[in-house]
Amino acid sequence: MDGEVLTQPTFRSLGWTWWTRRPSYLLVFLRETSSVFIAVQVVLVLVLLHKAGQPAADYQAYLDFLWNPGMVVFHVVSIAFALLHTYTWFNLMPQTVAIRIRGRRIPGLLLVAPQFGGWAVVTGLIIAWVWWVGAG
Amino acid sequence: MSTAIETMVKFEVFRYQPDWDEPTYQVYDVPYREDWVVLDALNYIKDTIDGSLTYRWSCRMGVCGSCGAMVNGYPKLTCAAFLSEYLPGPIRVEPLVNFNVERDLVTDLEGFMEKLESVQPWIIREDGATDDLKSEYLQTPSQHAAYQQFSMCINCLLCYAACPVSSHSEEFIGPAALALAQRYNLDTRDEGVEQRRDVILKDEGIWECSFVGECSAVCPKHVDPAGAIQQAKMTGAIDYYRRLLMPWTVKS
Repeated sequence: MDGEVLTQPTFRSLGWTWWTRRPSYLLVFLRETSSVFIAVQVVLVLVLLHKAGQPAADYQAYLDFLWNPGMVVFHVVSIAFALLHTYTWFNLMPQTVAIRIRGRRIPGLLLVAPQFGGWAVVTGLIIAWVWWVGAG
Repeated sequence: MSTAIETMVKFEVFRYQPDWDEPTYQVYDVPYREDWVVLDALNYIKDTIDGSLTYRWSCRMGVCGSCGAMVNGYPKLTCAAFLSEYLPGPIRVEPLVNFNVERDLVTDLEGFMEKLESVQPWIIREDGATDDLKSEYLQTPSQHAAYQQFSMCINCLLCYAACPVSSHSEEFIGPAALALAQRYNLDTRDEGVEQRRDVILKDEGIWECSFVGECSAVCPKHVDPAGAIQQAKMTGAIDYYRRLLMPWTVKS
């Protein structure tokens, strides 16, 4: 029939389980999910700082709470997520930053290596400081 | 007469006609040829088994970008997907996801075309002299190299089919269009950064991208749309703070 609209398009999408479809999607899903754990960890540290200014019994009660098995598991999972987030984020930097010298993009390694190097140095300094405080 | 037994490969092809309530999969047996790609198999089906099968194709050599489809769940140019990679089969061929299906493997490109046009992917001159063919705009090889990768896009739309954000937000401008916007923003002959600014920086622009990166992984031309979008984010963030902290440096 003249003028009749024959198309009845059917929309097909990846669906809400898109992250189960391939390993690369799952890795991104875990990378983004890690932010939730890291955010909770930041809140816990802020509360810890607040409790440090409270009476000793309050502070000790909070430490006891942090040492309960559930919180220990949470922190182990959190550190795994933090490492995953850091590792994947550092490796994405060459795609994000395009630095050119004499018209040529610098190799990705020159962007990635300093970040891992800086991470190692800062981690080393923190471990040394904790050791120094503990020894003193 | 040959007595050799021919190897057959089973194809499960997505079928949908506008007057059908539901799509279905139709199974075809196609002879295996070492040098055949999925597009050759589709042509074999159309020529010898079922002439009603509908799909787009043109150049057969990864240039025109019209033969994209989901091959065993992955967005591929069917002219570049060798049957040998999918043996022993079956090989499932479906239209690119994240697009409306018009018929069989043919998707509706109207929404993409509107998004593409919205980023004005052409050279804009402040003096409006783009149609003055007598003008020369010189460019050094290094200036050309700054955007060359992003100019290789053939609009095959595999990147949209790989993008979970496109899947959940029909308004998202998407990888190819944003990469092309970045391509023109980086072109030293172009003066249209301000004109593209609002479209690129709006909620459905670069900031909706969560850097899944699969668009770059499936791109047959190594355009790296994910990289283009992240670089545009970096430029957008610097521009935001420059406007905030040093407004006198911004052209009105």
